[in-house]
Amino acid sequence: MRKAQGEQEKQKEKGGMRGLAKIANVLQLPAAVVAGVAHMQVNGNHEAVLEGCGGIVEYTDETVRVKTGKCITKFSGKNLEIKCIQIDSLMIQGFITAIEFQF
Amino acid sequence: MFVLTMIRWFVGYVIFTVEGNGQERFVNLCARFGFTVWNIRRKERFFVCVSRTKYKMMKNLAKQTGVKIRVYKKRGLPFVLHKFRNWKSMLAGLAVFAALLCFLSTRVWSIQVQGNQTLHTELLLLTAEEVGLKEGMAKSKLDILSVQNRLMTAYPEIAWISLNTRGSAVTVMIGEKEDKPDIWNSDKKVMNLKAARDGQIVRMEVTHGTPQVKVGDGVAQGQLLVSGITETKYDNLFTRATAKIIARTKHTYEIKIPLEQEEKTPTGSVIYRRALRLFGVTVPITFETEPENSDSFVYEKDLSVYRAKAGSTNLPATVYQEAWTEYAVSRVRLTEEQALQKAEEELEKQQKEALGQEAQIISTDIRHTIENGQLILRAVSVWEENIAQESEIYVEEP
Repeated sequence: MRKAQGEQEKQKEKGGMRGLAKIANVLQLPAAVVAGVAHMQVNGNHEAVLEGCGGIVEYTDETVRVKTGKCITKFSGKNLEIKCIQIDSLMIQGFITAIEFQF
Repeated sequence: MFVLTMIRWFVGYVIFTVEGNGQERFVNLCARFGFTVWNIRRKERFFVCVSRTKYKMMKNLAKQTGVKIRVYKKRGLPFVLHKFRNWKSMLAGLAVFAALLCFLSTRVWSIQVQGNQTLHTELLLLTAEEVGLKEGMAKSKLDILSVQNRLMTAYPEIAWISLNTRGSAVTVMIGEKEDKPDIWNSDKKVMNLKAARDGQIVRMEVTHGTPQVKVGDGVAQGQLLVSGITETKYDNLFTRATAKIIARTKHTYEIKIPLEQEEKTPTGSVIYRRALRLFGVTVPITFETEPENSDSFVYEKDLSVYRAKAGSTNLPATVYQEAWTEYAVSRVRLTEEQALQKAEEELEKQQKEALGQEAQIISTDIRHTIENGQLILRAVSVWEENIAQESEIYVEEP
């Protein structure tokens, strides 16, 4: 019974998120503000600032995988460093060769 | 970024290693609990930086996540200071520094002179030193009033003086006297013109006043030449008499030149003696002794002062240099012609000094004799000069 309720709540949340994203799209507002989705700023290929992330999933000097809402964002490269991390944001520095979204 | 690095250094931070499984989870938890961590990198080990104060709190998180954290390096000012905590010499040094600072702040280290226009700064500073204001002296011993009065006495050109102390610097502010303005027109003084010396009048140009003499008259010193009071039919007019009274006057001179004279010839040798005055203490920086005059050599001293300055401020470091020029002394016997030439040169010099702008020499009668080993030149010179001299008449206002 509880499981079913939990699943319903999750579905509602998902539906709500989609709805907010849609509204943001219609109103041409930044989704990061309205819908609370992750916002990424990439400076060249040596620095990426990620806001609205949910934590580090995996970190090596060649890969950084970060939870961003429904998906996981994967940064690949060389000598990757997490320059700074706070509760919902982090900064990655290094030689970034790819950014990938994994569902 | 530089500012952030500096702040982190001043606050102090720890570079620590994280070992075991769950390193990412540990970092996530740090962020979630509000512990800002930075420079996370995985090389041979997993390195994380955190501020000094937060590191101790990390231990609980490490226990929760099952990782081991270990300090790798400690950086920043608190750790540097911590190294010196037991150094007694450091404390002693600080105490000495504080004592020295207290002692030095009770002394005069810099003396400035401001406001002087014709008076030379170095001369004023040297005089100030003589009258009791010198670098390195205790401020409590500085008698401002006495120094002011003695400087005023030493330099009559000073109209006012003020000594201001500010910290270890003393500023001598002076104002120089100005010449009295010409008050000929503004001042309604009544003046007569009298004869400055004996003579015979050759020309008169009277612009104001009543002449009391005429051309050709012989006048004595102090005699009234032009009166400032003009008598009219009804009243007396009081004016300031102005006139040029040109008269022939006699000037006598007697110049003595010894035939045996000492002649000084520079030998080209100059002895330099230097001394360094630092924080009120004078240290000689030369091995030369002060030369003494002998029968065959005499020395003349020339003092130069070099002060260290920071901009326009005098610093308590001065170099004094004495240049002693050597002269060879030889006794010379002058011939009569040579002595006469010297006497005539002296006569010309004296006449030039005495001769005014409007005066001219008409004739000079020169005679000389040799008495007691010296040439005596006697000259009688006839000049044409303005002998009018103002003399005030005190008139009571009705």
